[in-house]
Amino acid sequence: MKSQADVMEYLVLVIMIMLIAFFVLLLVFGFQLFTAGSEQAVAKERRSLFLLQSIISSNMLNNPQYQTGSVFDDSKLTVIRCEDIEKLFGEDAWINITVLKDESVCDNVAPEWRKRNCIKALKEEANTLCTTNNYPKCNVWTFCGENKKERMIYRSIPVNIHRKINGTIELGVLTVGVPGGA
Amino acid sequence: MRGQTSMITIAIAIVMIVFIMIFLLTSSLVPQQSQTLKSEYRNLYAHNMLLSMLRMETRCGSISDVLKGAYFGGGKCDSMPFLEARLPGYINSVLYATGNTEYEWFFEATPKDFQGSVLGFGNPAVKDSMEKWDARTMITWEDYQLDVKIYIRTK
Repeated sequence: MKSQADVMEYLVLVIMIMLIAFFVLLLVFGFQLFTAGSEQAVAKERRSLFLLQSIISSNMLNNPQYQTGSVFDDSKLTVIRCEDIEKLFGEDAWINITVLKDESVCDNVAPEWRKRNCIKALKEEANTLCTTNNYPKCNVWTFCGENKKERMIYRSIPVNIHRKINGTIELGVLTVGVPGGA
Repeated sequence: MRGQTSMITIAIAIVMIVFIMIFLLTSSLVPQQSQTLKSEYRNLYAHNMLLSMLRMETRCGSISDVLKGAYFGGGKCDSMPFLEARLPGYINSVLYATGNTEYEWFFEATPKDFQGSVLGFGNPAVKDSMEKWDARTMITWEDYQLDVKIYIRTK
């Protein structure tokens, strides 16, 4: 009777150990999956932020008069190629810089029909991709467009663009995309 | 035998507790890292928003010059009506273009060492909010300093 009880106790112990081992394995695998996914997302976020910080302080794109950075020279943006961008900031990144047109330049235009034409011309110029042929009548620069994929993490910040032709500083937006969005 | 069983059970329980603790600890670290990156991005965003606004040139000169005109007069146009009419539009257009339409803001200019009223644009409630982030810079003209700040929060 006593040995039967010992065997029963052993059985219970073995089942308990197996259950606990199963639970621990489940925990470990779940933990691995959870941290791997989260860390990858954090790494992508970190890369996009690093890209933004690198681009706004790069001498290759910025106007040297502004020590604090974030003021891009439109002439530099027009001649730079994707290969140069990839050498500087790594592959897989997609970069876009867009000038936001300021409608206040049409405020003093009179009569009303000319003002309307002024705003219309501004809107037409908006979203015109810059090339060496249409510069400076354009306001969008995109680099490494072929890298643009559906699943990307995008980050945007406000920047300025120095228009070399008239020496003005315009308001714009810098957007970077790195692959790996949800 | 019974004592041995209890010992093993206790040991297994301790191992389990340690595993659970490691799991909880590390799983709380990942969101923390993400939160730090978010706050870094927000600071960069606010800082660039403020500097880009002040540098931007309009038909009345740079916004920084227009602010100077609002306190000391002169300039290319009537500064205060221009700021009231245009500054919120510029900031909102940036929020829209950067896909951050859920942000709301308050822009404030405070004279540091000269008489003048505090200029404010946007939603003043943002300034007193607990969940805000901000950027600050000084504009200097000769002996005068203007403290310019922008406060941003999510709606």
